Amino acid sequence: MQKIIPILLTILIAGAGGFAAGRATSGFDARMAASGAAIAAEDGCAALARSEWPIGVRGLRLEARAFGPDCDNATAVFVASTEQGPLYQAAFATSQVFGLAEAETQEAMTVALSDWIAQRGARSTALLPPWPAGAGSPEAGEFPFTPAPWLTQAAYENLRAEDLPVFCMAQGLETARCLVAREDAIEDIGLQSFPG
Amino acid sequence: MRCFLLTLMFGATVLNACAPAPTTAEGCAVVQTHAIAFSGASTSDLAAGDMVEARSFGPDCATAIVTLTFRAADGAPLWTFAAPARKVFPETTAGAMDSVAALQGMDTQLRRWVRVMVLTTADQPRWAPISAAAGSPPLPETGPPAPPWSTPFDQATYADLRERALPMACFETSPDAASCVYWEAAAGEALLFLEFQR
Repeated sequence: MQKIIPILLTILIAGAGGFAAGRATSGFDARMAASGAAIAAEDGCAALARSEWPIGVRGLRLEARAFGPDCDNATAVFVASTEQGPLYQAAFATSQVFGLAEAETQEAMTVALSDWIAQRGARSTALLPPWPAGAGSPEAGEFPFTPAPWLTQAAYENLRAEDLPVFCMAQGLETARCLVAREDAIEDIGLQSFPG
Repeated sequence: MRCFLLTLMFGATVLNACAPAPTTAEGCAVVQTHAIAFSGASTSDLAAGDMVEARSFGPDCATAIVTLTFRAADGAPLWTFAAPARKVFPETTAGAMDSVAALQGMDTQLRRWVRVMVLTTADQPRWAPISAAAGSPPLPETGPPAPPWSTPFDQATYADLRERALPMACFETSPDAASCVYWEAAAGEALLFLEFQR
């Protein structure tokens, strides 16, 4: 046990000062296989799409990009940002995201990414299903909504009353993650299930 | 000329910065990779050819996103972490820098970041008796005052995972925080095991 704490602290210390070469030899280098052997990062599925979330005066910039050796093994990253920098980001394996999983070429992935971050129609927190006081969760309609863990029933109902714009994007094969923008922050409010 | 000089300085890692971007300039495109053995049936049967890939992208390094992706030998992504570069490397991205200095700083950081620490779940502390309640963070039984910990597991599951000594990799998520993910061979996926802060 005594040796564990130094190992973990080393990770943090490295955060401030870096994994200097000298540190990498302090006992756990043997577990770092093939250290220093750079491998070419293949980008057989590099794709990029940009959009805008038209809220507020300037709106938010949305960016979706994919990278990976091929489109079957690509990673997708979603970023929402202002001129000052990113406010929200999330990464996914494209094989696990509805709409991206089917894209097999860079061209198809570019189209899929564009579709992924396209905001269609006006969505609002007012359209979320009601969560009656005393109930364990919001009313389950045809497309159940699962609130984020931080949302209490009261906070959820306040959110509905605020009538804020909602942006939802597929984050799995059967669910979409829904976000709201508030001043200089983006809040994750929960998961919307797909039909079926 | 600029790209030629950058390529001479940093090699292939900045080639993306010099390649035509799909729709806009990519001012902070850097990639670093590092070979590890992470996935596999057990710690004695780890798959060769796993890889960690660290990337940055964005119009400039101050507002860039950085990602750390664990990939299997066939390229399949096992785990991806994404965060603003200014959160992970605040000192590197603070202040105004010209593009050469910014790329050099990012390249240095990614080169270091990609070298994740590969351990096993058994290397993490036992759940301290004082934190016996389900959901409490684990605390070391001995040693110096512990930093704050958090784990998505209850005590019994945490103890079981620790007992199984599964392959685990730890990486920084900021200068004073780190995350550890482990490989669950039965499910064929990487999962978060522990997060801690200084």
